[in-house]
Amino acid sequence: MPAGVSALTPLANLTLGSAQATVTFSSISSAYRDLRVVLVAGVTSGGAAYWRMNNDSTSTYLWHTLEGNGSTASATYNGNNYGGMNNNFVAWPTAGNPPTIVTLDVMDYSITDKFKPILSRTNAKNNGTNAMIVHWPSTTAINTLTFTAGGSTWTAGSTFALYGVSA
Amino acid sequence: MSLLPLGIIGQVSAATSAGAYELITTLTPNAVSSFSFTSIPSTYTHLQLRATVRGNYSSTNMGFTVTFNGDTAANYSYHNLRGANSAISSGATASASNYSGLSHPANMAAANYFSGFVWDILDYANTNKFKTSKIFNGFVTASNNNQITYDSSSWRSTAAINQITFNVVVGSVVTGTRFSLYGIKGA
Repeated sequence: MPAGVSALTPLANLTLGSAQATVTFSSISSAYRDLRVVLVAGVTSGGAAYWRMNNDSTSTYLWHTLEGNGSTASATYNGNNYGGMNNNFVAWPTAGNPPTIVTLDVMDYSITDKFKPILSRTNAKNNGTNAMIVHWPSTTAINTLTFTAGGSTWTAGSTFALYGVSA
Repeated sequence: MSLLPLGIIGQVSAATSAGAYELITTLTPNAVSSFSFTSIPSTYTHLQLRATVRGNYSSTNMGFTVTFNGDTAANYSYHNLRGANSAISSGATASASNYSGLSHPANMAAANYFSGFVWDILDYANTNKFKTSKIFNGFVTASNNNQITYDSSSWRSTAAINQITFNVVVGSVVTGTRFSLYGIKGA
């Protein structure tokens, strides 16, 4: 890539006009090395928000967190997360609270020689701050990312942005 | 449900206009115990390093030492917040001869697992201040082999950073390891 050319390419940007249960980035080009996702989103009621790669609802997603909830700092490993990354954005704010901020760095998403490491950072005003490493145990290139407000809906005004990082 | 075919909704924003975030170079070291970014231009405001790493050390994980500009004097300090399984800890090292805090899967970890890390080196070319950086690093391969770390570090030098050298503590990195260095421009 020659100097002077941006290595960060906006791929999609969505602001919800009304509440909806699921947001999907599909047909993601494999032309980049990493993906970066930025969510500023709330839910209309309590629920276990989760995300999936390539609509994979059967694999065991591994994750490890480091988080603080305002009074306690903790670390947690979870190797039994079948079918998606649920409960991993700390806890989502209850209705009426500011939206949660989530950034995901999906490393080597288009490379087929390794499982995909994902670095996640979450800040929820009323629930805490969280850092997390996730592994999706597949060597398949990621072409779809789905974000689901389990048992709830994403609030109107929630934003979902996707960027490609060249290497 | 909203389905977003990319390229239809994609929009270019001013914040990411061409040239604001540029790839300097990518290294794919394999079977080596030391490698460097050299001749880093001073034309950016900040640096960002993005990497996925695995080593061949006969253990479940491995580490690096890192130096700037080849400096091995006691000019490095760092502080971390770390989680491993249910253990959480914080540590600090002062006046070290390198930065050492990154951890990655090694030969005894399950196959195909690599770490991810993103390292932001701020004002790397500014000759009026010491250099500070923040690092987010982690991997998870099994219930007894996972780490997540947030580090801050400083290099007590006002020199512009023009070289970053990684030395594997034991063993070498394996194929699939990738380091990409980016320059971020100021206004």
